[in-house]
Amino acid sequence: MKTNDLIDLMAQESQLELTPMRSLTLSVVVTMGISFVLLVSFWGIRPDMAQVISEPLVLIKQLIPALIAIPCLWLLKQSRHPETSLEGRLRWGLIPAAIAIALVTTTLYILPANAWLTTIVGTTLIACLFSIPALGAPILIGMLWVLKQGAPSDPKTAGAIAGIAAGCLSTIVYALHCYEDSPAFYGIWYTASILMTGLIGQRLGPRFLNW
Amino acid sequence: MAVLNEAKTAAAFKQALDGDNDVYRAFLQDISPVVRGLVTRKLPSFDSMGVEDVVQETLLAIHSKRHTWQPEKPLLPWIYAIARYKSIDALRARGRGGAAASDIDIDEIEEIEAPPSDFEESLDVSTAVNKLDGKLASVVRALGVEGISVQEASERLSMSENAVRVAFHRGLKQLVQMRSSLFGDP
Repeated sequence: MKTNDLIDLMAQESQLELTPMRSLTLSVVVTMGISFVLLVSFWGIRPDMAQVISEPLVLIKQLIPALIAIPCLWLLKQSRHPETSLEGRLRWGLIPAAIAIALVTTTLYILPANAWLTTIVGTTLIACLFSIPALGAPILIGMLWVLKQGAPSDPKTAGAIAGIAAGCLSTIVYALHCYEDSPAFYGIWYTASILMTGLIGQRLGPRFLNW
Repeated sequence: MAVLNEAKTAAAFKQALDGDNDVYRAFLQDISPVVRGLVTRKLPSFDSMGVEDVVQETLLAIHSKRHTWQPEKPLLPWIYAIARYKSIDALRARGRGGAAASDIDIDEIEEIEAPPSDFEESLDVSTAVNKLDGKLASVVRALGVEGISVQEASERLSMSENAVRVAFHRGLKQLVQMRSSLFGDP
């Protein structure tokens, strides 16, 4: 078919109603709700949540992922427009990574060396590494679905950012269950779980976000 | 190389989005040479057939993703970004599945480099549309060739309006892909 013929065909469709892009915020609210319900049903909220929530070290468990998720969500909103370049954006992740390293080293510094291993490993390491990506799955799927209605020109990076955002949001949910309150534990394993979710997003991006 | 004026092009596109078919056609015709120029520069290893495939893919993407343009933002960077994305995509596709130049038999080269000049002409719209799946063909024929409205088409073909839209778009997509496979490219 000649290019001009294609143009003639497409021109007939100009008046067609445009499919609006679904709201990313709405998708996040709904899918986080799903993760929360899953958590309450299968994991359960830690019984002492009400008492410990005011403790700074418990609070930042939820606060730091939230602070990472916000700029990620903003970037994802932009990434639906093809002219948005995501080049070099992932480098900003070094800031929260540095904060996590600082938290972990400070915590270990005030502990005797023979307590390091037990503090780092904790008692729920495997559950943590499994739960955060699992609870992040619905959130990530929702994000990819919304992104697909747009036209992200860098599906790999967009997927990675979506994965990191989903991992952070799922961490906020999972931290309602997890009673490991030492930064030496969550500074390492939450970070690892979020990066894992980010990696999954990076793999899924080129597959699902092509247009 | 053709140059586009941001203000004029954006004004035309806005008018087209409001449903002016003639302005839309003129808009697509105006941006085609610029898209072609950009794709040619991005893909120096592609012959003119290969370039034209990418041009069509780009136009179709501009069409189906037109809701991702924000009217308060400049239009030309948006168009260029789509052309760039489709060029990279074509390059990647060729790297994956396409035959390397060395795989091509020497006898075939003549064929590839000099397609019969009237080949493209022979593949006119109605021939191409007839090759589509039944339902897609009737939708594309009704909307694209006869130019009836979505509403009329939905009544005549007893499909929902949304199904008509989806079928039309899928039909266009198949037409573009059909072209690539007919020319054996990549």
